[in-house]
Amino acid sequence: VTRLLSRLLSLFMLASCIPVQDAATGAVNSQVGDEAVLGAGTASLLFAPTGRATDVLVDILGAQLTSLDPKDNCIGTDTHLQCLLGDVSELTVIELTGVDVSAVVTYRRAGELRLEALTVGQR
Amino acid sequence: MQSLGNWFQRRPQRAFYAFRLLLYVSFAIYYGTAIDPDALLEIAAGLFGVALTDALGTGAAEKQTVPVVTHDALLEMSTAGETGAFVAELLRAQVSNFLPGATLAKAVAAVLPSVGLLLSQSLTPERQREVTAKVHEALRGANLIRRVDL
Repeated sequence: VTRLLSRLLSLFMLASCIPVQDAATGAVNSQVGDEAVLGAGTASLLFAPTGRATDVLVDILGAQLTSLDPKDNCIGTDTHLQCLLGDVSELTVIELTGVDVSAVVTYRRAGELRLEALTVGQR
Repeated sequence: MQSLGNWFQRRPQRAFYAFRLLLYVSFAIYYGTAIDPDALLEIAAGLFGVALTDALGTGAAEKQTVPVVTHDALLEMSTAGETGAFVAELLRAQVSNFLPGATLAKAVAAVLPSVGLLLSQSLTPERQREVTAKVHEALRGANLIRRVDL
């Protein structure tokens, strides 16, 4: 029993190390994947996180960019917009028009320090 | 697995030594990455350059374009350790989705998570905005990102 307990204790201690935790997270994510999505719709970009995402920032480059966002989350010019969405826990739509548009979203999954990044059409 | 168990059972202290060794290695990674993030960034940049060249195939133009953009983007922002690590982490995430097989991404992923985890926590919202924009520009300049009309 003592041996079993000491083994369990060792396992718990090892699992509590940040590098081990991070490696485990990476391994799980590499198999399961982060299912968050940044997509393009009609005159809009859509960000759908899994669970709650924090510090959500959508960076948009293109031409003739016009923000139609009623909440006025987006600031910038007609070639570069940045939309600060803050905490997001459900599908969020950013209304805008433009041509040759590309976008990158960076965010943290709730409770995690590491920043994640997605581009349009990637998951 | 059974023979490994037997090996430990014959000499119980081996299990202790092995566990202690694992702890030392873990701490070395943890504190080593905290001490000199720029050095790790250089290693990561080197990995990107070499492995991207291998992964992108035979086109000479491709071989030159992408590693240069990636390397410059990394080094340009390596003045602050946390920013550099964040950029490297971002690029790792991005590149892993463009490379078939993603051998490079796996190699870099093995090096970078501790750095990103340790240092990205101090990234201010202003720096996040700045760095995200620069990475976006670098990806767009290298045609590594999809473009759409809205």
